[in-house]
Amino acid sequence: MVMIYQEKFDLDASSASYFSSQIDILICGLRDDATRDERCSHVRTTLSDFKGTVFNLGTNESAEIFEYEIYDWQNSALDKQQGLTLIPGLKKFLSLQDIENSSLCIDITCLSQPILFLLVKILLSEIKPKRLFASYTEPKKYLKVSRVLTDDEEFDLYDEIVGCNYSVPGFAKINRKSNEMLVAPFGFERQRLLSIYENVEPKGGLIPILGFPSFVPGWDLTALYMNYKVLSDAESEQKVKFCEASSPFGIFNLLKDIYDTYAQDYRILLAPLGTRPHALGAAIFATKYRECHLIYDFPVEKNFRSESVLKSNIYHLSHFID
Amino acid sequence: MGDANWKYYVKTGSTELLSEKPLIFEGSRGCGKTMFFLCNSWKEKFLEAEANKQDLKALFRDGNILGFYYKVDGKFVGRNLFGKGIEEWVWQSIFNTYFNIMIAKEILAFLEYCINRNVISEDHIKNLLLRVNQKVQNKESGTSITAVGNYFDHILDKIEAFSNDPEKEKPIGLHAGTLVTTFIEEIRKITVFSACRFHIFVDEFEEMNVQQQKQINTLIKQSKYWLVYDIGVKSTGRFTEETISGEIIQEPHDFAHYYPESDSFSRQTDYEDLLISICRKRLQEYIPERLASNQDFFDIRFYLKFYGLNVELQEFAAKPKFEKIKALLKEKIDNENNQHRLYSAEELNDVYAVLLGQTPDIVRMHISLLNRKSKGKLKELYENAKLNTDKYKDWKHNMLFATYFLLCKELDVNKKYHGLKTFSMLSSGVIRSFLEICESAFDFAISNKFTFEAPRSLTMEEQTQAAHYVSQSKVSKIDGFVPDGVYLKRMILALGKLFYLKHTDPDATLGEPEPNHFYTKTTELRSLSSDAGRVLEHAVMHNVLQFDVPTKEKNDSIETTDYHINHIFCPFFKISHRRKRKLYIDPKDLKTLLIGNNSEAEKVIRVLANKLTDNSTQGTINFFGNDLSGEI
Repeated sequence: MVMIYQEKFDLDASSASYFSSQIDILICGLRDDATRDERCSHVRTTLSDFKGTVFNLGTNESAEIFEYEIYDWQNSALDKQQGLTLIPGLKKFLSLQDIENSSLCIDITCLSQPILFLLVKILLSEIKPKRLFASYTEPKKYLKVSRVLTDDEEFDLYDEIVGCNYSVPGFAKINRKSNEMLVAPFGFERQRLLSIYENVEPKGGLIPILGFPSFVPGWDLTALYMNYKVLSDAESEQKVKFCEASSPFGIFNLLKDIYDTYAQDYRILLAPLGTRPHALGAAIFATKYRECHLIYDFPVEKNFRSESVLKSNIYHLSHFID
Repeated sequence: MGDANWKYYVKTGSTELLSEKPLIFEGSRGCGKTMFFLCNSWKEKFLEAEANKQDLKALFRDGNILGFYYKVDGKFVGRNLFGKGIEEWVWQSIFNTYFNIMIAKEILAFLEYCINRNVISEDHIKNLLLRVNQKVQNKESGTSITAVGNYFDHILDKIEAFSNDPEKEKPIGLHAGTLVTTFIEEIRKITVFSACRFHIFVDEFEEMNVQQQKQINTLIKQSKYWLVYDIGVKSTGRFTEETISGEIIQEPHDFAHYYPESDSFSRQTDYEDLLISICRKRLQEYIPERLASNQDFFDIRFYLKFYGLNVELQEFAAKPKFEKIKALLKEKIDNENNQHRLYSAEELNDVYAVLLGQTPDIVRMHISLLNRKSKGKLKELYENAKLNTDKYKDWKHNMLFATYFLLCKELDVNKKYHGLKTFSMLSSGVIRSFLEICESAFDFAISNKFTFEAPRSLTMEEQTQAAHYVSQSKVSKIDGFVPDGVYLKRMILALGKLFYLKHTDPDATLGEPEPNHFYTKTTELRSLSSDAGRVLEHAVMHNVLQFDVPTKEKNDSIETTDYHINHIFCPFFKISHRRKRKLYIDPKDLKTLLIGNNSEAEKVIRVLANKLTDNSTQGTINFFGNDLSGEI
């Protein structure tokens, strides 16, 4: 495995004070379970000396609406708004904040992924902050269910999938080349990759990306097991690429390699179905490489999908800003 | 699908479907919609003509059609061109521009192709391009094909940018089909094309939103003898019948409707002929030249040999447990005789001989007939069997196949699947499913050293393995259907279990043999729960279920609909793949199967199957796919 340069840091008691002083605005997910799910608030509570502003951003399952809440560092509500549309609502909202003079940190742990994608695009290319960080809190355990009238074991991470035949807000592209190749970081939920692969039927096949090393030893094998059927159907068993599960930098570099190799012949469809750090890296990549088409299946995530905190990371992303 | 689709395309009666009347080709994924439209489009026809060294001008003779194919880009249209604080009419005009330009680009490609092959010259289309430039307000670029094409791309770029950020410049808005009409009007002025009829094929219509479908409905309504709009759509994928002015498009006035899946059942022989022709084209690629004189090698029936039912009967008869089944029948005869004092000991020997000395299916049928409650059932059975009466023949006709499923369960035998007819029925009208079973059967055969250098019929085991493998694979993929895959998977597992319990009920009388579909009051279901109604619609759209007009009404007063499970799932569920009997499922119960929780669904299954305990063992879905683990 090639060593890559990455500005990735542990967020723990020893570094909390330093990072608290580096961040003016912390962007988090606005979720029903945010206050009760330990992972959602872990970064905020770890940054004990944080004196900036917190933006909680939310959307609905099909990523059409937009809502936000703003709090100060003492958790006093400053503003809130509901019923906006994600496009152009998010961009308008950001344009009213003093982003250009601020250091931002996006806590991607519980942030809705369509918001993450659009936010990354806007912050890297349109409304550019002074410095940009992201943070992520890894889970110790995901919830599982078993026996749905058969002996299948499934992970209980979402209620339904809205579908991949919808564009990712901000990343809509007209299909002008029929030769497609699907590149997909994948996770535990086998239906998601299966569904996207069946929907796209990419002539150029599937390049699956497995999060390895994974957050917890063995999770990579679980992801492989859950997705083996579609990998086999797509004849992609030999094409699996590996990338550290918690590294947006690693996935960015890997995607660049894949893009350089195949983009001349194929329209690259990028479906970030794996870890959130991989989704972050994919969003950065799709923003930088406009020919690459970001697609997504809009799963409706369950509340309380994970248990306990493993650790938190901070990523410094400023060098990706245009 | 490969690049040269025409090589595999088989013209059937369905090509006549393209007429001056628009066509709505409605069916599930894999039923042949895309192949049909693609192979009737200009590109494939030109490729075929050139490969066969035909004169291209022959394609433009009187009445010939020139088709332009567009597959709806669901990731771009649909929900993307909607909302975002923009008024609906603005999105509609932008959609129309997008749709016009996408078709116009295809027409430009056609014209360029014709120029490159000297069918026409650039001078022929000067006026056309001038008019087109006026329509799209292009004052900057020239009137060459390249310049106009680039301008089209420029408009598409603007549409793309506006859809991602409505604060960007608004693209030009057009009316539905206006640019396409201009193109075709001008093309018809070119002598060589003047006698052609032009078709616009819109595939995957279900990806459009309601407003966009209304725009296309308007074009269907406005179709003329020289410009016809045809659509391909998944079952239940038409969300509105309205045009933009609120008119309704109706069959047969405005369009012809074609449902290939229902057709495959109502015209089974035609469907099988189609499958044979499709396979012949594919087999041509594999049979070596030196064997080409043997036409059998090009006939899929040679490979998918039907081994007869006797093979299965012999397997049943050879099972030690079959003696227990015979003993059970003898016990039932004795009990009945003891109770009613029908026969003397000597007469009873003849009863045994007539009823017990039979093949396993008939023995098992006799048990089921003696399970009935009627008085004098032994006498009736014995006399009819002895004389082989019409009634007895009717019983055999109606019940014997159902006994195979009982015997498979009771004797621990895998149901065998072999022969074209069986595979045709398993495919439920979905050509792709049929081809998948064939491909899988050849794969199993190749692992048994089959080669086209020395072709042979595929063994019954190879065919059976393929049927089970594809069936399991299809079931395992159901939860990948969006948006209700998880519900659809649970529903089909529940229905499969219900039918399996009915098929293998040891106390069955076979009065209603092989129940593998159901009927319900759909309207009542929808009024009970719109969510359940929606999931049922998606089940049809994804071809998990196929609806049909009711056969024999069991529940008279209110309108009901029949729903068949896609027969490709039948081997997995170990149930019959024939269209035989149906069960009534009350809308309340069906709602539970569609959207209730697991334990509620289990309860409904047990009540409907009259089973309070569950000792059923169906397949276990195996994510590793290839290994059947002896479970199925």
